[in-house]
Amino acid sequence: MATVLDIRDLAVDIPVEAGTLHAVRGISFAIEKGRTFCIVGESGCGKSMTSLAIMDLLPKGAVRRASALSLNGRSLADLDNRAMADIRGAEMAMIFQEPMTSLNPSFTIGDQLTESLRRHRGTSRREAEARAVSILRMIGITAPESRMSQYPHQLSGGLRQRIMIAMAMMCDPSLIIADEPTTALDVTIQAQILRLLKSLQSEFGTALLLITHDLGIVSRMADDVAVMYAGEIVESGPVEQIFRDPQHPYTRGLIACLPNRERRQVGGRLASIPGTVPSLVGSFTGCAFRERCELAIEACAEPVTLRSLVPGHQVRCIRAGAPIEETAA
Amino acid sequence: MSAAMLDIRDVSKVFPISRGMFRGGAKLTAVGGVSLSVAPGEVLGIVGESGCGKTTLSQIMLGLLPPTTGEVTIDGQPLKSLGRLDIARRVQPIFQDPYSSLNPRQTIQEIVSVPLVVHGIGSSAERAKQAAAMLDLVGLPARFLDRLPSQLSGGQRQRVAIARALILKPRLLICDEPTSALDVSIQAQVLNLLADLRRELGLTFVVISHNLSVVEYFADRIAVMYLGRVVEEGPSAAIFANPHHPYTRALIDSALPIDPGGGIPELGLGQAFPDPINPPPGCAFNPRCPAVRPDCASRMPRLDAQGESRVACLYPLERGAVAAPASA
Repeated sequence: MATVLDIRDLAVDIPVEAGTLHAVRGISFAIEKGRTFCIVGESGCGKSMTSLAIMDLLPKGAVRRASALSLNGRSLADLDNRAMADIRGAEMAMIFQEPMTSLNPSFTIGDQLTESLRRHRGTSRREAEARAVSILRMIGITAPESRMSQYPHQLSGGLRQRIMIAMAMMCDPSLIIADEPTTALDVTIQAQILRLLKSLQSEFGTALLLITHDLGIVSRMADDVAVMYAGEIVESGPVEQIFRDPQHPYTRGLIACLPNRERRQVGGRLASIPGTVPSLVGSFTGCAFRERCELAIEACAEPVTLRSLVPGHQVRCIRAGAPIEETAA
Repeated sequence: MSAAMLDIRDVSKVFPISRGMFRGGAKLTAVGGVSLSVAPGEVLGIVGESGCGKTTLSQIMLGLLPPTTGEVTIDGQPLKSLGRLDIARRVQPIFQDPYSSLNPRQTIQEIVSVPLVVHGIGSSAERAKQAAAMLDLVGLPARFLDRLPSQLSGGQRQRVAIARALILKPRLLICDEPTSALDVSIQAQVLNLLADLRRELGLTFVVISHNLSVVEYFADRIAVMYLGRVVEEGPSAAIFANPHHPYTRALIDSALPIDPGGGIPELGLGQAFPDPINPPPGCAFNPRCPAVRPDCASRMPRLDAQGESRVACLYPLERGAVAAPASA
């Protein structure tokens, strides 16, 4: 299978008042054509910085380093702004969390949908509009012709996010990066948008990098999963493997603390992960989770590498694989 | 029924809407004819999507908005007969966003003891002591008293908001999306804290959320709202095991618990989201309902008893299954 995105040792440093924030600390992964790769983690784990680093849209001052960063075999690492602008929206497109702030309020839906095709491919306005209408129709938008002349404020949140998806699809990109694409939406709309992403992906063979905090969505959308904590991938592998046999104490904790019916009992408590994420400002060695981990031992303060327990399933924990007592209820 | 901690009788809230100079005014019915009752020590969950009126209803319960019609009583006292301070002693809110609900220039001690100052309770030494006791109750160390909100994490801030809500010893807490702004590992800590407080203090809760699994975990009873009305209400277990309203069914199906390879369910909902200023005739859910029948667009369903629940649907689902829609 063709590798669409290949990332090795990606790091992002952000200068802050107190020093340097190491937001992403050396992560590697690859996405094949037509596959969905999910990055899951909590706020501040570096998942959004990873997506912005791939698109070269990091905030001013942030520094990106990688030993490899390539899209369809072509290195993105040394491209200048103009060359990256040619790739963004054409070969890879991004869908953000908040559709209201990512659409321009003063241009019509039609203008915004056709812009990328006209810019990247030099398509005529008429042809671009025809493609926009056909994509809107395909993603289930009623009366697509009349939508083209509407402005973003005239549409509901769910419709706006559909427009964002249509915009991402205009140039038939090989990679779509979706960062929390449904977090701002109502749950029934969320299900519709996720189904739409899945169906477009299977139709066009697009690779999807889906970034979310929601383990339920990950379990249902992903082919492969990476769990991020404090700027690192702490566990990765095929979705079935990660959820059937999670090895990192953080992954286990995340799964255990979701409220659900089975866990409801009189006086019952949810498992929770004590403490908070460590500061990533300044130098940091050892397992970043050790302060919150019940299994931590002295050796956890030493640098920990990702290792494979079974082929394809990697975990960054020296205690994984050892017989583990059930985490406290 | 007089034993209810919170009783909401036929409450409606209508907002006048300006549509510009030439089109005349319109009316938006944010809450329409809602009746709910919460027993002492009970947790009522209110679920629904944006625009369903759940936040307007919470503001009415807190006495922050007067209802257009209907009456709210807390512990037997009509809210409209109580002054603001009297209401605040009985019912307190916990809001969604602990970043914007705490004054960034006040120390935690000042924030937590503000209600005592407003109510003229205690000397400053006594207030400080009570603030420390409240922090202890919500699981924060006393050294946080001198800190500013910016020095605290989201979960710690939400604990501060809970401490502030509890310092007047109210019997009823209205929590509007109490954990939506928090990470899941922190959400679990806060839910556990609320459950502990409920047990230790015998508190009554109304928990408003779009997150069904949070409500399912925490609530004894659940009310599902759609476009300003309660469409289904009943014991939490019964609602989840056997939803009768197609909208409740769709909400439950869209909750997406962990299920590797399970895919995303097709809800069969149309995209025709109703305009609250011009709600569709008949059942407001009919344009999106997967089980709609012809007379759903002409007859308004009443909230009637169905098993252990009350349901506003002309053709309630049996055993949670979507009934075969009438052939078109």
